[in-house]
Amino acid sequence: MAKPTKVTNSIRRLRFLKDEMTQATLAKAVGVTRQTIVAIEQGKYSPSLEVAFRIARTLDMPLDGVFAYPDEDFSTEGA
Amino acid sequence: MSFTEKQQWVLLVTILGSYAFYLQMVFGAVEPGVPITEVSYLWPLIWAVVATIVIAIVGSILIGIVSGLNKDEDFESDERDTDFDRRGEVIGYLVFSIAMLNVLGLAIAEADHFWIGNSIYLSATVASVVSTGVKLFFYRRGY
Repeated sequence: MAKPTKVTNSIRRLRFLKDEMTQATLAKAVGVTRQTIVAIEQGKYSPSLEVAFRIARTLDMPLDGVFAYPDEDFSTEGA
Repeated sequence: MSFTEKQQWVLLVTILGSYAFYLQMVFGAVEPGVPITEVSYLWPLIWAVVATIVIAIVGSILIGIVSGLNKDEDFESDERDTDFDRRGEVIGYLVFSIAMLNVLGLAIAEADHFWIGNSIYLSATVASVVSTGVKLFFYRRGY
């Protein structure tokens, strides 16, 4: 049985690479509050797939270029 | 702190404050030698419930005004707020449902209306506090 994991992300680094985009600008482009972007960056909230796609699109990155799901957390037992 | 989270804090303080007010009104009216079930609880109960609603609304408006002074404040809620709200409400509903079994037991035992009425109010208060507390826990600690 796979243990519960948290999705990690590189949003903070990618924001700075994208003309030092602010959290507020990203939040507005994605359609969420700045606090939600803060929570996602800090790993305190896992966004919906739709918001994750919007973030990736805003940062001009593929989804797995922004979010990661560590290999060791996958369980292939019984697959 | 988001606007929605601030609203939850106001609600939590209001619920606890109004219940404390209610207990003070009821227990303050107890006289020696007179059973507590003889104490008139109806008006304190109505006042407490009305006060909870009014203070929560006014508090929310005041927070909105104060927050409005900050240009960066976000007033709209998003999926995170909706998600936390839903999870908090589900747990609150569960607590209320279980607490209602106690009320049902009192009704079956034909207990005094005083106890039934107070059990319902206590159940609603506990459920609201748990529901709001769960939401605030998610806001603070994440989910």
